[in-house]
Amino acid sequence: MNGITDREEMLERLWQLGERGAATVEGLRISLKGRFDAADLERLQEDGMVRRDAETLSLTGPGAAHAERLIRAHRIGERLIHDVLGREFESGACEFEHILATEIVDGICTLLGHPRECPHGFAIPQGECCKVSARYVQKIVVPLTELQIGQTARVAWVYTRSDQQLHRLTSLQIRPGSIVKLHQDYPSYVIECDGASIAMDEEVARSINVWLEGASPVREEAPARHGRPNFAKPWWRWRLGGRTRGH
Amino acid sequence: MTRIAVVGLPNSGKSQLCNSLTGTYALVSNYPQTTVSVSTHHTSIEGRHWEVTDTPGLHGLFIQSEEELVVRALLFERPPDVLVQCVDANRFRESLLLTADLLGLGVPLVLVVTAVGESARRGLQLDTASLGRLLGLPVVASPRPGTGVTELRRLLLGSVPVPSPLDFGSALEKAVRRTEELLPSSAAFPRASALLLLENDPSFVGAAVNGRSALLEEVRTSLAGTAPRLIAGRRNQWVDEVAGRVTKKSADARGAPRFSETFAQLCRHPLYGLPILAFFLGLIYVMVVYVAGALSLFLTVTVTDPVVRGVGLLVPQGFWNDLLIGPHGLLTLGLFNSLTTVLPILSVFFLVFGLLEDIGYLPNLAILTRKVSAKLGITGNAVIPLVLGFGCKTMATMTARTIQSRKEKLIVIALIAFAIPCSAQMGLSIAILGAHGVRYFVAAFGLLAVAEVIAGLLLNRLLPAEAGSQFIQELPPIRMPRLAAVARKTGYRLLWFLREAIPIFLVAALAMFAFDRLGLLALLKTALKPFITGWLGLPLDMVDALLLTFARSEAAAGLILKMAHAGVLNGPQSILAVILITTFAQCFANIAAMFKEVRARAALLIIVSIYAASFLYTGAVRALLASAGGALGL
Repeated sequence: MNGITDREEMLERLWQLGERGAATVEGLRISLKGRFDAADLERLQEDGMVRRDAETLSLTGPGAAHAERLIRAHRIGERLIHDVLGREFESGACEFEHILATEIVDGICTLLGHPRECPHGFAIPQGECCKVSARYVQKIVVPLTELQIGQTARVAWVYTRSDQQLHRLTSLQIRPGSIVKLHQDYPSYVIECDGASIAMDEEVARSINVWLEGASPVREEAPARHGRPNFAKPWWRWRLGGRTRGH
Repeated sequence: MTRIAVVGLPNSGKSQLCNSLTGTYALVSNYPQTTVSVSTHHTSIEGRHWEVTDTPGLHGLFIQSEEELVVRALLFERPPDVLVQCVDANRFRESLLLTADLLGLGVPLVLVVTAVGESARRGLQLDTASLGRLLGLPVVASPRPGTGVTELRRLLLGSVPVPSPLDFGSALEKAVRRTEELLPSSAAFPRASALLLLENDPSFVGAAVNGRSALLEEVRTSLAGTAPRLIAGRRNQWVDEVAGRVTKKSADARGAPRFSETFAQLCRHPLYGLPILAFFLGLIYVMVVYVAGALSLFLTVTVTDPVVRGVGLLVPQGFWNDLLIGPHGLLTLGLFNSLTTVLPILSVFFLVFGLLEDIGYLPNLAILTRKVSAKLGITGNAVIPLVLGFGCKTMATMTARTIQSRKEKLIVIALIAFAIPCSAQMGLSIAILGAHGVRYFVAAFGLLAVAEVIAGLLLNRLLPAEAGSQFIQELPPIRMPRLAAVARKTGYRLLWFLREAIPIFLVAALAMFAFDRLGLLALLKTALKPFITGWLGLPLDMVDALLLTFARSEAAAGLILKMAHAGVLNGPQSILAVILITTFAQCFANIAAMFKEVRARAALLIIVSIYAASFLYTGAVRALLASAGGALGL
C-alpha cells in the first residue's frame, strides 16, 4: 500500500502525535494499527517530509506544511458534520434534512455553486439563493458579541482555551445546542442560559459562537451610534458608550 | 450514626435546607458563595442519629475552584451514607449535570427540587414526579424555601443506591475500565476517579496514578477525539434527554420581560445603575442616621443615663467609680458602648443590608463596577469577594479563596482589609458622619473609594503581572425579599454580635482602664502626639479609639460616635476619624483569615503596609480638606 492517501494519512498521524508530545516510530505504528507500512515512512523521508532521528520522528518544514493543510481540511469537515449535521458525527446517522435551517442549506448551496443534481443524478429543487444566483454566503455563525441586545440564538460552537474552561462553560450549559439570550453588553456581557443569568467579559463572549437563526440576515434595525441612544428601543435598553457595531 | 452530605450548585438553597432539617441556623443569602467551608449539624429521625453536612456550591466532580475541591475531598475521603442534592429548578440542566456525576458515585441520592414555582413563572414547568420515576430516585419538591422537609426526612430513611443510568458508549466505557485498572486498589469511587483522570482534572491527576501517567496517556490517545470533549458530549446528551422528558414550557409564562429581570438589568446598567445604588445608599443613610439615631438616643436616655447617675450616687469618686463609669469604665466603654451605642445602629443596618442580600443586589452591583475593578488588576471573578467585603471582611477574605490568580487574590485581600468598611463599620461611620450632615457622609465615602482606587492601581503596578483570568459569573435572580427570613437573619447576626462582642468590649474596657492607670496611655499619647494632633489634626483622645480597634472596630467607632455627639469632633475631623478608623482597623478574625488564605509573609506585609498607608492617606486628606474643604462646603 504505497498510495498517496496512505502517506497523507501517515503525515496526519505524525501531526497528531506531535500535538501530544514527541512522535516515535512505535507511536506511529500503534496509531495506524494494521495500516502501518515501513515503506511509506521511508518514502516520506526520501521526499524530505519526515526527519528520523533513531526512533524519534519529526515533520520537516514542507512536511509540516502539507500535514497542516490536511489536518485543516479534515477538521473543517468535522466541524461541518458536527455543527451543521448534529453532534453524533461518529455514528454516521445524520438526519440531514431534518435539522438544517433554510439559511444554512442556502449557505452550503452557494458555497457549492448552486448544484442542480445530487450525486445520484436526481434534481435538487432550487432555493431562494439559486433564484437570485447569490455569490456570497451570509455569515450564519457569529460570535455572541455580534448579537443585538434582547436577541436569542442557539450556540453553534465554543472555543475554550483549556479543559477547565470547557468544563466551566459546559457546566453553565453554554455548549452547542443551548439557547442563549443577550441581556446586556456593557460594562460586561450578561446572557441568560438555561434559566440562569451569567455575566462574562468580552473575551469569553467572543469565544461563544451562535447561529443567526430565524432572523433575516439583513438587519432591519440600525445599530446605535457611539454614545447616542437608539430611541427606537425602550428607554431602559438604550446603549450607552458601547461599541459601534460593524456589520 | 448516618452521615448525610447536602450538595448542589452555588446559591441553590443548601444552607436553607440544612437549617430546616436540623433546626440550626447558618447564614443564607441570595448569592453564590455564602457558604465557603463545610459545616456539620446534627438531627435525629425516628430515633436514629443523623449528621448533616452543609457544603459550599459544587458544579460537578471536575473541580473549578478551591471551595469545590473541599466538597470533593469530603465526598472522596469520607464518603457520606446518603447524598442530598438541592436541584435549582431555574437551572435545571446545570443541576442535572451534577446529578449525573453524583449518580456515578453509587451513594444513595435524594433530590430536593427548589424554586419550582419561580421556574414555572419563568417559563419552565418541571414535573418532579416523572423526574423521580425516570431516574429511579426519591425526589422532594420544595416550592418555598424550607418546605418539603417532612417528606425529605421520610425519604432519607428508605434511600438506597441506584446504578448510574449514564452509559458512555463502548469505546469510552472500555477506556474507563482500562483507567480503573491503573488506580490503586484503595481508591474510592473507581469509576468516578477514572472519569476524572480521563477528563484531565489537574487537581486529581497527580496523586491518583503516580508513575502510571504513560499508561494513562495511552488510554487517552486510544480514543477518537479528546476524552474531555467526548465525556462532556455524552453527559450533555443525557442531560438533554432527561430534561426533554420531564420539563415543558409552562402555560403561565408571560412573554414580556418580568419586573425582576428588568430591575436586574437596571441595577447593572452603567447609567441607571447609579441612581439605584444611590437610592440604596440613601436608604441605609436615612435608616442609620434617623431611625437608629432615635433608637440609640432613647436607650441612652432611658437606660444609660439613669444607670450612670445611679452608680455615681452609690459609688463615691475614686477607683471603683472610675472602673465602672469612668472614661474607660466597664459600664460606659464596655457594656453601654456595645448595647446602647453600637447595637441600635447594627440592628438597623443589618436589617437593610439583609434586605439587599435577599434581593440578590450585590452581585449585580459587582457587574456595574466591572470596568473600574479591571483597572485595579481585578479581572476575573475576584470582584465578588471585594463587594462582599461590605458585608463582613472576614467572610469576604475567605471567599477570596475562590480566586485562581495569586496576584488577584493578594490585591483583593489587601483591598478588602484596607478601605472597604464592613457592615458594622459602615453603620457606625454613617452615624458619626450623619451627626454633621449628608455631605460629610458623601465626602468621607468618596474619599475612601479614592483610597481604594489608589491602592488598587499601586498594587496592580507593583505586583508582577500574571495572565488575567477570565470573568464569568453566575448572577442570582432578583427576588422579592422575604421579610421573615431577613428578620431572622438580622436577629441571628445581632445575637452573634452580642455573644462575641460584649465579652471583648468588657475586656477591652478593662485593658484600657489598666493601661490608663499604669500611666502607659499617657506615655503613648505623648509619643503619638505629633502624629495624631500634628499630622492628622485630631484630638489626642483618638489614641484611645485606635487602641480599641485592636479589640473590635465597633468599640472604637462607638467611642468616636460619642466624641462626635459631644462636639469634640467637628465635621472635617469626623471625616478624618472615619477614614482613619476604616483603613486602620483590622479585626482579629480578618487577620486570622488573611493568614489562612495567603502566606504569613504576605499577610504581615499587607497589615504593616495598611497601618502606614492609613496614616499617610488620612494626613493627605487633612491637607486636602484644609486647602480645598471650604470650596467644597466642608
